[in-house]
Amino acid sequence: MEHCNLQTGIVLGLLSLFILLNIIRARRGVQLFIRRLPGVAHIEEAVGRATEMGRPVLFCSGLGGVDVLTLQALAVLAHVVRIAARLRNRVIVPVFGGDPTLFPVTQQVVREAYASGGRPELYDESDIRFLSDQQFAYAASVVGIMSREKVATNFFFGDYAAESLLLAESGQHVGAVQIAGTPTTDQVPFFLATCDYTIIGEEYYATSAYITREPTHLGSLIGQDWGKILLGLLIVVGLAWAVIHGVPNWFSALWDPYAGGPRP
Amino acid sequence: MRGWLAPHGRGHLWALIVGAWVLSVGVFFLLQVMPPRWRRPMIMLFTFLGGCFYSVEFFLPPNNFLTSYKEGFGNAWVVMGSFAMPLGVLNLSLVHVKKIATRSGSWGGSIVYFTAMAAMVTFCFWQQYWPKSKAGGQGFELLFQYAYMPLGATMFSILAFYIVSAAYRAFRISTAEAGLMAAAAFVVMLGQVPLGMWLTHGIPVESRWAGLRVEQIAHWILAGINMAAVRGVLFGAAVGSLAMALRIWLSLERGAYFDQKV
Repeated sequence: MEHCNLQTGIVLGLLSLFILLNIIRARRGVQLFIRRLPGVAHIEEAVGRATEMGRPVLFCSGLGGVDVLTLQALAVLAHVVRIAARLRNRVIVPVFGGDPTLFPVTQQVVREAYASGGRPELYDESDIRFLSDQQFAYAASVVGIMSREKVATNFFFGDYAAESLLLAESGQHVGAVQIAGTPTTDQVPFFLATCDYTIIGEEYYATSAYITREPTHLGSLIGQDWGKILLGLLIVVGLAWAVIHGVPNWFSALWDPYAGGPRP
Repeated sequence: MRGWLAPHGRGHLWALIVGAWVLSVGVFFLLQVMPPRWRRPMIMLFTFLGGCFYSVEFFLPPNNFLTSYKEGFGNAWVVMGSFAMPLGVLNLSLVHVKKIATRSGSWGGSIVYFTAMAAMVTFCFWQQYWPKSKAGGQGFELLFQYAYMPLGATMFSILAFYIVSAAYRAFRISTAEAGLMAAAAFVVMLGQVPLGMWLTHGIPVESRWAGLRVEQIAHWILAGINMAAVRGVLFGAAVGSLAMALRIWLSLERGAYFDQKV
């Protein structure tokens, strides 16, 4: 969709209102409950296992540039690095070269996370590796790093395409514990088949709330749930109405972007 | 691009390029020397203004007064990316120089990296600036068409084998859910191949029992059950992405990416 229409505007406005309202509630001290996510709960255990084995951890942030999806992956990366810093372990981060701006951002995130984990001296610039901007060249590099460095734990968070299976299956071959998270529905089956824990869809955007326990994130998560309830209600009511009364013409026209004009 | 930003002639174009370069370096320098207590509000302001531009452009009717500036704003991102590119190449080169210097691990691979990079850069420029020279074009073709492309295709073809091993692992029936998934996958696979379709070819397509044909059941699983689940996931992901975009736009993030408050 290139531009907003009235209906999209109303739905977007309501969803935004729910999210902002709950952020304000959470910041005012309202206690909000969120259920446990197994994938996130096992991050510390996975880093701990790598440390016990004396091997490094690998974190891939996918093929995305500096966008919403990858920023979420960087939030998880910061958490992983803080744990690794506490346990005095290394985290290797191969960065996809498609958007070079991601590279300095990743360096900064890792540097600050090591510092906040109490081990700024553990930060090694050569562990953040700038790799190819070509999908399979990137995959080949990451697979090479996995086997050369003998990583014990792999994290795959972010936007993935066909290389997801190459990465995760190679991780299986080196015997790594693997945790993946992506909202890309096409790649979820591959991660489910090859990783120990997989975070899918909306859970992906909820991870920062579990990790930080920040009121802003918790409130935003509850706001999202309100939004999903609204969307669910719209679907159920709309379906019932359509079954009982049929779809009125004015309603169909509302959702038709070409109503009143020639179709391309 | 419209107005004075549209280049009128060679001189104007060069003036714009030099001007943009000076401005970019100036902003970069300013950000470096600026005290952190000023830097953060400035980043917040620019994030907010950038978000405002795109959201106002989206909410206004098509081809509004902001639409023609969208391309220019998009290009600004590419320019920022080009500033970061040398940082990436430098980092990669440092990693490999260190490996060669200390003879650690697979340092032979690092020599291959430098050789490949030098060869590719040389032939790229050769082909670009001396297009009449045969050697430049042939060298580039040899590296790109006959080395790089087959290597990429090889990586892609490995997927075929990995899919088999991943499928084997996924379909080991250890739980009731795995059994259900294996059964559904079996029916969907049968519905895609001639042998599967042959199994139920006796049921006439026009009859009331046509829904029991294997390809129909497979289609129902894919377009009914599976699609409903996928759309549910997509709904959740879309709302999650909106929430995150709002938090970034309004600079509400605290401690997720950067430990200092933005």
